[in-house]
Amino acid sequence: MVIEDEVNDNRSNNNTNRNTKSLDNVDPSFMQDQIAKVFNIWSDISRLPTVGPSFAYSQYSRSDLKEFVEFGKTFLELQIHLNEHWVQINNTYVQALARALEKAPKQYNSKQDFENYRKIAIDVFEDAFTGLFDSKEYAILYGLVLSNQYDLLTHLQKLTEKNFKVLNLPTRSEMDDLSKDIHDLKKTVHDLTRKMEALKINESENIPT
Amino acid sequence: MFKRGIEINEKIDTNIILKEIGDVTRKLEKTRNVLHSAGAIEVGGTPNEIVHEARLYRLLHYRPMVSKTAKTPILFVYALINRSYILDLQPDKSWIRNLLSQGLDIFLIDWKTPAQVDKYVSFDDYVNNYIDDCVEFVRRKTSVNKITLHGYCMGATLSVIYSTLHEDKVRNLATIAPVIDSNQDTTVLGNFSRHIEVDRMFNSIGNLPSEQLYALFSTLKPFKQGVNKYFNLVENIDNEEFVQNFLRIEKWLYDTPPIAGETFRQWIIDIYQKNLLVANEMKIGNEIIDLSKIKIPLLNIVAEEDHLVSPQCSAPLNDAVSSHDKRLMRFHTGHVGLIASSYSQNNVLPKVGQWIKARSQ
Repeated sequence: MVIEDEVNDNRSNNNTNRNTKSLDNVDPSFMQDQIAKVFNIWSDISRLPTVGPSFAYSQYSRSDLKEFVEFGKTFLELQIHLNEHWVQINNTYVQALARALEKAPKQYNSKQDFENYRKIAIDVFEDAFTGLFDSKEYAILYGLVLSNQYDLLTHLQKLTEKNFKVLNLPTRSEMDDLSKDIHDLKKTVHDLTRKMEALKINESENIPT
Repeated sequence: MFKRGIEINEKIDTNIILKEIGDVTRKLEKTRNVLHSAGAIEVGGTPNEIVHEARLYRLLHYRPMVSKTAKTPILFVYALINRSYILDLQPDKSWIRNLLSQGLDIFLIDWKTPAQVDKYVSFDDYVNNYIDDCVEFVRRKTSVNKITLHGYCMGATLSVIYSTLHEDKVRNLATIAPVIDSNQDTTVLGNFSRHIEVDRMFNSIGNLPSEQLYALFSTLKPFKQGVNKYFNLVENIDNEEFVQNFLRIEKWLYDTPPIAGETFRQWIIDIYQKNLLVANEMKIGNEIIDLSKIKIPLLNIVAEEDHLVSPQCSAPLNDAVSSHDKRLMRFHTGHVGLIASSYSQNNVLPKVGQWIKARSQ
């Protein structure tokens, strides 16, 4: 009803202006009203869930954009955590190097001196890095780096899935569902086979000789 | 701090130094050539046949080497990490060959590589389908009611879980470095496992890829084993036996299949993060795993210098079970040294064989 009224309004307005030669005399506020009305009507139409011409596309682009933004955020987080990871590795390396140098002999008198020092240096580096990898702080950081990598992959998979739909190819989540179904079916078949075997054994045991 | 250079005693003959440098260069070049032309590395040479096979495992039966000394066959459950040929890496360090030479009948579950479609394969599948299928097969083939279940590392944990659910099919349980009480685990692996968001991994990539396992392994003894082994290789490059040993171990270290996503998820969350196994709260299929249900003879073997599974993490199994006949054996070696070394041949396997034989008649 609202649309019809607006169309009627437009007709009456057109009739009013039929005799004019130019739009110079048209009230600017009238034009603004008309534009606003057209925009609102088209917006209403495009919001219709199934037939709106722009709705699907706008939603599609919006979700793509959202995924890209999330991807960017995760990528930044990964960079921050990776940087922190390398800072910890570098600090440990520098500390171990300093400690190894402190333990270096003042003078090398034989090949054995080199050998002995190599063992000392290996021990120093081993202790330093095992200390780092044993720490809760580093383990948490390592876990975050891995999580960020997994999240990046998830965002990429979501973006790719949409293209797969366009190409009419099965998506990863569809394949996942199939894998689950196959797994459940195999389990059922296995259980049934076992039950059949047990029945066969029971039958053969019950056959009178 | 870093300004001091290398001072060499002036009395040392320069010719000796130059000769050493020349020797190192020669060895480096030879090392490069050896590694480039390594080709196929022979492992797992003890004769066997595949007696049963399914999508995710092969069941191997080893040909007897001497007449049988025990009636009860052994079913070895290998871990889901790396490959089972570490148990038969080379004749003089083979766990399998040694037990065969003691007159024991051995079957081995050799796990295959899970694909993406196997993402949902769980502990329930490994325990109640795959291991149970193999146990059934061995029982039928050897006409015995009960077998000796023998597991290593993750395979030992699977063997323990199996024994709680199917004790009627198991005569003896022999475990090597099982993960039982993860709160007691002091390893780097345990530390990382407590902080991995494994659900995210499961949802994004499904199975745990081999590359992530290699990255984790590289944090274990990174210099003593990671760096020093290459120094040792260069130093011993003229020793053919040393080089072959090195190549075989190296091949094994970098030969691991992915782990099925759901199995890894349960392994990390239930065992490492929530420590449900030792608390008798872990659920497999529809069953709660109660370790106190184990009443069969138990041999638990641990390595004092194990940097993958702390002995403190494995040892609580002996307290958790109800068995009267139970023994904890401790050896001064590491996780791999326990099963594939001269030390293990001379010190571990004679005792293990003796224990199993005494309970297998």
